[in-house]
Amino acid sequence: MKILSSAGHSKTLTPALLLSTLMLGFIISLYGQSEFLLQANDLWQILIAPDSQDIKQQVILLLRLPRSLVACLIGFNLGVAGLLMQGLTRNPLASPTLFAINSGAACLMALNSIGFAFFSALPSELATFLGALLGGVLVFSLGGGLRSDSNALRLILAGIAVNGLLSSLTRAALIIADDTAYSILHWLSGSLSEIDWHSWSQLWPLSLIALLLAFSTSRGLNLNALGEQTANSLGINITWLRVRVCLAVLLLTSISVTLAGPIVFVGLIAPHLARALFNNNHLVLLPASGLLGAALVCWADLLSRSIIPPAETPVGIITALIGTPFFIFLVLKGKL
Amino acid sequence: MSLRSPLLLAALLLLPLSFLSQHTHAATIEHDAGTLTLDKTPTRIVTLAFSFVDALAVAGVSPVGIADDGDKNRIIKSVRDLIGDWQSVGSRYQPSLEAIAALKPDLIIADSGRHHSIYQDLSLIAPTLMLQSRGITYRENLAVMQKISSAVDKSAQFKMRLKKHQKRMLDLKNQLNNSDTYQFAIVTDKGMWLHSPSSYAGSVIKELGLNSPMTKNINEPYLQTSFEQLLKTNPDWLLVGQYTENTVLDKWQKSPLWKMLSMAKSKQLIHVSASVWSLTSGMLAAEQIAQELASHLKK
Repeated sequence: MKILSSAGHSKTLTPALLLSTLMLGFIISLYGQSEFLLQANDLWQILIAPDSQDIKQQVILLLRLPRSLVACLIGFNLGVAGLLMQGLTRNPLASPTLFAINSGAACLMALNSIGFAFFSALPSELATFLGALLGGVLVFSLGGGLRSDSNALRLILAGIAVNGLLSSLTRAALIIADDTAYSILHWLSGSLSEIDWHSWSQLWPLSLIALLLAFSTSRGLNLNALGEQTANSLGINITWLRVRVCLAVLLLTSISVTLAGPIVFVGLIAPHLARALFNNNHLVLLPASGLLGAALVCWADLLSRSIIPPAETPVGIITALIGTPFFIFLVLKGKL
Repeated sequence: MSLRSPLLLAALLLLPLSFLSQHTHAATIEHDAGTLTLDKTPTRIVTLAFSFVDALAVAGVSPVGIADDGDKNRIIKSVRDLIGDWQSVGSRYQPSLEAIAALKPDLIIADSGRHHSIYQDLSLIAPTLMLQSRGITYRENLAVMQKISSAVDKSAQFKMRLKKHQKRMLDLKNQLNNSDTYQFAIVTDKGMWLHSPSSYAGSVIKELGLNSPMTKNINEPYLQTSFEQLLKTNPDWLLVGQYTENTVLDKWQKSPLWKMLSMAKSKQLIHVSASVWSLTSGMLAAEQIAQELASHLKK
């Protein structure tokens, strides 16, 4: 990693580039790829001549703006969650998917959609959120939980087992619910097409709490990088650190998957890119990984609308399409 | 039996002509998995898709088994009224091979889109026709129906019924004559799917001479649609079939943008039965779709 974060990088140039990539993606996604043929000028018109009867302006304000904001914040959350996972387990392959949060959310959402038992009584979003929490807590407790002798490998094994169980339940639900299967499948690929201001108001407060919690662990994660025993001897309470990190990951991922479905690979790519661009200090890495995640989801969402217009391609497919070659690249370069 | 006796008579009359063959009926049907030759008229038929039941009902034949997802009401009423009772053979997605075999069928009609992987198993039970059921247009469906009618040796009935059907559709087409745009969509709590003119419902709308709000030529039968795209598509009439109790429409209707839609202004949002408009296809379904459209337009 040291080699990649070349000393030649100016300390201000990289963050500036990163921020402008994100800003550019955000602005273009406000008007890009619209059947209404929106233009940058329409954004300007909103500022200088707001008109509540103009359909173009209303589309930008009521549909595009919340969608772009949610895309960025979800990307940020996933980027941060991925970094936390990798920092905690000291395993470069760890990602929020490992915690079975996505598969838990998918499982309960699918059971809710087919009207299985009492799940059907819950609102769909609540069921999804509970599923995400359930998956995460299950992996966390099977993986050693709060025990002091628990290790990262055990957590990973628990993740694989719980993921397998939950995905098979989801598949069973899909077979039973043949008619609604395609709408469930669409959600399972991760999509931002149903985002509105209501979603934003659900997303930001929980995200804020979880992000504050995440940033409070950065010093602990820096020391944890030296090994658990070393961190322990330097006065870090590993159990307490683990609890806070897991809680933050759980919240960040659960709220994101509830609103947009599983958007995969972001939590895996963003931390690696962040480490390649910056140093290994989690105080810097956390916001960097978050911003990279935000830019990634924002641009992927923009791309997802342009593949077969006017139909929406789920954004999760795009992130997976970008993520897979990147992952192979990491493996070939021996960075893992 | 009353239906069969004139046929028997016809068969007896034709017997001298077929002196080389010992059988009263021999049909060769080109289907999606090759060519199927039937040397006698099948009487115990199992169908694994709803649209094939429509075809059999039109031909005046009752299937002994249907993959009805364990719910007889999944077969639309106009079709149910024309056929006798049947045994369920499980879900369309995963029909039970045991239940099918237990019925000792002499013909199985399966969906080439869904049942490709069990074709070999089905063929071991009985001669199997693989035909398309989903994602095909009105005209393609009529061709499939015609194949089924010749497999069950009811081509004559089919032709007669087809003439009647075409007249009905033409009458309704003349009644419906207007320049508004019509769009059918399925809504769930996860989103909205517009059925384009290359879907079944979309092609029936087109057959009735009604306009689609989709300006581009679209080959995809079902298009997932965001609220933004619905605003752009902006049909004069929106016919929706619901798969779930709560749908995205509940959310969209609260938005200030909803009032900007033509169909919201003129109150031309119509709730229709998803089982008639989307789950099945066939002559009877098409007639019901056409009649529903006509009844709403007259109001």
